[in-house]
Amino acid sequence: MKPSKFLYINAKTLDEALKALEIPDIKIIAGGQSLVPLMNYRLSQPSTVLDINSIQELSYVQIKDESIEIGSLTTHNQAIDSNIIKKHFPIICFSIEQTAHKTIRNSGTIGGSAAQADPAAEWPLLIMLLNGIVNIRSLKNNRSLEASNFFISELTTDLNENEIIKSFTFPLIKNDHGWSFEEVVQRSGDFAIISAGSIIEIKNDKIVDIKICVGGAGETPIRLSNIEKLMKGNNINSPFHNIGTNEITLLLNPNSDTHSSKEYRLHIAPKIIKNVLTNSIQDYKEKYQ
Amino acid sequence: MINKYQIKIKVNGENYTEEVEPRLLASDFIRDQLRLTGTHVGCEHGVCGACTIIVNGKTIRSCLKFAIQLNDTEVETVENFGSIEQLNDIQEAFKRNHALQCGFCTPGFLITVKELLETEKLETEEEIRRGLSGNLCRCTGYENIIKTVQELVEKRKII
Repeated sequence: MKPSKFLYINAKTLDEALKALEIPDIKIIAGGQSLVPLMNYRLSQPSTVLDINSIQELSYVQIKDESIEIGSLTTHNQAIDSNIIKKHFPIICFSIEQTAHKTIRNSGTIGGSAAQADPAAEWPLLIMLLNGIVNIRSLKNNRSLEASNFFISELTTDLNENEIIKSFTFPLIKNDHGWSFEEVVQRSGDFAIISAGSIIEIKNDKIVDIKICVGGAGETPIRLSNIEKLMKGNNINSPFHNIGTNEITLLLNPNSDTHSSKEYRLHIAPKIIKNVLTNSIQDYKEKYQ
Repeated sequence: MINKYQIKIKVNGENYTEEVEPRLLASDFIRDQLRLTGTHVGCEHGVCGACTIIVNGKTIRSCLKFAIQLNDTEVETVENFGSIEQLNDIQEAFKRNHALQCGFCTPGFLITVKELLETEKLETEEEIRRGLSGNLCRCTGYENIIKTVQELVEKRKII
């Protein structure tokens, strides 16, 4: 239970870190809440650990044009405490409060959680749900990826070895809307067996836009695009008239693991999904009616 | 060849300058090198909470940080709480309510409770349970620990 030997680099600037990424078999450490357990088990034995915790320019939350931008080194607790996030995306504060425990949230970061890409973790689900853009830097190139192109598979992203996530952009939601997030866990702070979040934009009692995303039900968090399409235009007083259980589970493909079987996940997912959709509409009604 | 780096660190008010290998975990550094064995090591992968310490005012799992990352920080461990002769309020409340049996998890709980009392409302039992959910105890069944925190929250109100 002790990590193997490695060289340590403490980068002070993003440029310095990007240069260091030329070193073969180097691993970036942000909060370390996923990496260090893997290193303690020697499942990960990097030649060099690149510490980015001193890079101030990666830790911020700001409003930019019609969106908010969250620096990749922003910790879970900094996100929860951010007034900007609280105002524009209360769903983030509510969901991230359920990520692990306060002590872990003091260290764990949005960038680390996204790069780890656990399909049952809250940040990847939120990034998918909120049409997040992942802003990536390397020495020679800057690129921005939509969440759906960033998360490739379980614990796998499109990030190359020479790249660092700089920040995440979340477009503001323009219309009046309601939101909801729910997850099933064995103990509070565990990875979710099934989680779901939704945002429903409503005008004159009609659903004008809807986002619904499910975690723990496949290799990445899954946007239920078929449900989104079917529910768009529905009246909020009969939102599910054209939706059956088959439609809800159509895009889900969960695995069995030690915590839960595939069958159990498929059994509870429709209930959780219906809950967040219903509660999003309820949230809208409470806020605007 | 072992590459060692020098770190400067303040622990419980005392300054240290120490040589550490990068792979040395903060938990092992505190226990084996500084000989502050109040911080316990349970699971070594961030699950049990026994190794929780305070760094720059916030709790961390010391088994999930490297000692080298503590350079230029201020650390508080359970040794900074009361002494055996004079327990601090949190320790006294744990003792009074029989919130420990073997004591292995207790340092982690004490540190966690300190941060919770300073930062969380803890208005309901549910909130207290959620706050403590990152620390495992195999003896008490948690009930007496919850009771202790409830008592400390009451006392906090009076102040």
